Amino acid sequence: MPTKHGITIFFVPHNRKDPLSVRLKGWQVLAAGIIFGIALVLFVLGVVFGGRSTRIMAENRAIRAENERLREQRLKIIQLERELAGTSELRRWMLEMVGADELAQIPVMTAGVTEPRLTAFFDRPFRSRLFPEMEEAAEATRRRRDFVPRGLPVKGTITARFGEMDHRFLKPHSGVDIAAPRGTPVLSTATGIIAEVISDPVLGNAVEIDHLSGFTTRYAHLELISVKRGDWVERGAKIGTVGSTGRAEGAHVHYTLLESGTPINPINDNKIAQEG
Amino acid sequence: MPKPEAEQKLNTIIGPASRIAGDIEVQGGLRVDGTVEGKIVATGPLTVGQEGSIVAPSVTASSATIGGSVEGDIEAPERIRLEPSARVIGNIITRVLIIEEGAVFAGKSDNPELSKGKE
Repeated sequence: MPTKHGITIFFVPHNRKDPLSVRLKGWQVLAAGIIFGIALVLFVLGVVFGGRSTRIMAENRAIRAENERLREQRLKIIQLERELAGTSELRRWMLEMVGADELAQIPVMTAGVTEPRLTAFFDRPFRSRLFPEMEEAAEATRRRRDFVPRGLPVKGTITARFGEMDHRFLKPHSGVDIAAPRGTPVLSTATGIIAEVISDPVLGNAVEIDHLSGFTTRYAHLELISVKRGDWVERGAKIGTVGSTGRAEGAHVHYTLLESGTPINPINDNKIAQEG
Repeated sequence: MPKPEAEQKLNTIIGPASRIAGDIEVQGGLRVDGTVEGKIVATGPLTVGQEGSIVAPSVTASSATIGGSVEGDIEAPERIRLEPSARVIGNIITRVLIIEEGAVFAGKSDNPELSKGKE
């Protein structure tokens, strides 16, 4: 029998156990070598790439955490920007609370947001959550203030000022005459209760409102009256329309403001702007 | 006393169903799974498999692990271990002797250190 090439692998224990011999023919040696080689390569690749993928996964996790952190920061920044934009509103409220209305008219610098979309976003009605107590106080002040007559009841041309000599009655003018097209709505200059609705040969159709703050207002020569005695009216509510009832020349409203029963000038001369 | 690597290495195996009648001298370790009738001298460790059998006036090695049968004196200065399947009839000389449960040992045992001290 010709001798075949091959090897025998002997496993000899160091105790009484029987030795084990494994005989491999030539091609088996080759196969074993190849399998071992492949196993070795796979092992090495596994170590190398396993390590790499583990590292990449760790990096991914870190990046995700970073992303999450940045998202939170972005939200915080947006919130801050909104609050910053809201400070102009807040400033107005605070000025209102201290009664400095004129100062409130001074434009304040808003947050440096120039991007149109963002600007639109910030321009929406904004309720600051910075100082809720202040908001409430400002709201209360605003409401209280609505009981004090402010501005004029109708937009138009002032034809007779307060205190001017009225030649028809030979006495100083008790209010202001504001000429406006017939039918223009006449609005209450403050919140209050309709104290009187009268139809008088001199005043024509007239309304008197008690503002429960020591102030009373009168609106005369109205075409139509849309309120009745005892009605509650908010500031800016329509009480009637411009007409020329009573002793009047042309459509106008004779507007009288009384403080504790005494007529006073409803137009602050320092203030040219007249509110509707 | 550390021995050279070559003298500790197993390099001779007497396989199962082999029988040797005569003295054996081995450089390095020896494993007996067959039958030996004759004196054994090995510079390395001696292992007797569970099927191995030795009948000899003396067996000398650096250490011995006995799993089979030995009739005769064994001298292995480093250590002698008798495994559960061991069957030893004869005297033993070693520094460290281990006899596992089930091993049969009929004979005397001595420690070269102690013998030296006595002399």
